[in-house]
Formats: sequence, C-alpha cells, structure tokens
Amino acid sequence: MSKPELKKEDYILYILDHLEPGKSDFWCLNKIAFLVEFAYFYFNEKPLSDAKYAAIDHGPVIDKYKETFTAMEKKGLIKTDGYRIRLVGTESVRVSEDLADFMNPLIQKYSQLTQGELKALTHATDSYMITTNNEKFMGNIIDKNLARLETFFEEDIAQNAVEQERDEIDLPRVDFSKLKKYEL
Amino acid sequence: MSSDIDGYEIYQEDKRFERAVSSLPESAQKILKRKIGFLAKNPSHNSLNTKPYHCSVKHFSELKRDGVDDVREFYINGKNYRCIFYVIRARKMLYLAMVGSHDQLRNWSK
Repeated sequence: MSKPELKKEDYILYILDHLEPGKSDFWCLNKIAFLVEFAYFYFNEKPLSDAKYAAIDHGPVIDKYKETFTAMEKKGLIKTDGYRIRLVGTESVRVSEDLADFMNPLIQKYSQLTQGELKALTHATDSYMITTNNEKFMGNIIDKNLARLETFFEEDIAQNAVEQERDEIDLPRVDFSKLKKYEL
Repeated sequence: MSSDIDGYEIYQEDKRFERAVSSLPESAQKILKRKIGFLAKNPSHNSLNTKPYHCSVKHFSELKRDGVDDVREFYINGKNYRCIFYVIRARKMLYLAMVGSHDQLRNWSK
C-alpha cells in the first residue's frame, strides 16, 4: 500500500482545525476522520493517514483513540474536557493544495451532521458492517481496501461540487430602477 | 401545455445583460434570442427546458427581499452557456439576471 499522506496526529489536528465550532467532540471527530479517510481511499486508492480504524459498538473509530488523545494532550497539542476536545497550539498542519481541496469540503459537510446522523451514516457503511460481521476472521480493524465498496461517496462529492458552484455564483440583486423591458 | 409563467413580461438590467450577450459567440446569441422569444410567448416550449436554479439559502433570502419568488435557468447550447432568470410574480415579470459561461457567471459582479 502507498505511503500515507499524513501522520495520524497531524490528521487529527488538521480535522480539529477545520471542524465546525461545537463539533469537536470525541465521537464527531472519530466519525469524520473515518469518513474523510475512506472517501480519500475510495477516490485515490491510497491511505490519507497512517491511522487505523476499529469497528466497535459505537461504530468505526480511530483505533486506540483514547490512548492517542491522551498522548497528544501530554504533548500539549490538544486539550480534552470530558468528551470535548480542542486544539491548543496555534500552528496549523500544512497540507498540499490538492489535499486541502479534497479534505476541507468533506470535513465541512460531515461536521454539519448531528452526532446521531454521523453514527447512522458510519454504521451503515459496508466497511464497518463487513468487519463487524466477520470479526472472528478479520479482527476489529477495518481494512481500508473496503473503502472501494463505499459508492455513496460519489454522490457526496457530486453534491458538494453543486453546492460549491451555487456559492461561487453571486446572483445579482434586483434594482427595479435599472430594469428595462426586453425587446423581442 | 400551460406554464405558471405564461404571459409574464421579460425585463433585463439596462446595460450589463446586453454587454454579456454581446460577448457570447454569434451562434449562441442567435439561440439565446430565440429562446427568450419562447420564454415570452411559450415558456413550456420543449427546446427551452427551464429548470429551477437551486441557489444557496443566503443568496435566495437576499433575493426574496427584492421580491423574487423563484430562480430558474435554461441552457443556451449544450452545457456551455446558460441564462439565469428570476420570477417576480407580483409584477408578472421575468428578470433576465445573468447569461454566459460558468466563468462569466462566476465573475459577473467583478
């Protein structure tokens, strides 16, 4: 498998830096990390980060996320408060423009979903269901190659492109004093 | 077949729309003229094929304040050029708001 674009900690910091305010809790972060990672694999056939994902009862999560967050907190990168988690440092993780163009709209899109919606979406992924149904043979680590089955990413990306276009075109306001009848 | 905008009159902004039309290739200008004719006389004409333009909530709420009830679009030739127009029911008016390629529409107010 190709070398991942980002280290797990940098990936987490990048997502936290781009999450909608109020969405930076353990669960949303885990679900968004999974969805963006698997969307990236779906379209690029290579891993976005070196994070592994585990299929647990709560759905797909970053494997050993508690230990990871604790270690990051000890390094002074994040601060946790119950389920809340926030960035401490002010230095942003730098990624290529292409990578940012891919990740940012998806992070924004998924961070607009409620925790329940994120949970429902990730529980319904083939990657998660196949792993949980075959845990005896596969263990609970979700194979990133299963991302190839997640065709719903096509719709999500297409919908994002449409929404982006809607925002790009600045519709003119109506000034009735400047209107004239069209001459047929 | 009747349309909900039958008999509406067509308006354009004084200069900007004309300038945009004149920047279109000649063939597109001719098609546009023909299609605007359909819009005025037979808005349900098959070759017009208007559809709703789903603008962002932010944009639509601004336009709503101007009295706009609906934003629609039609393509001029293939997918290269299109025309976006507003429906203003209180005045039975169709306002030709924008015309051009995607880049032209994106840079409309610049």
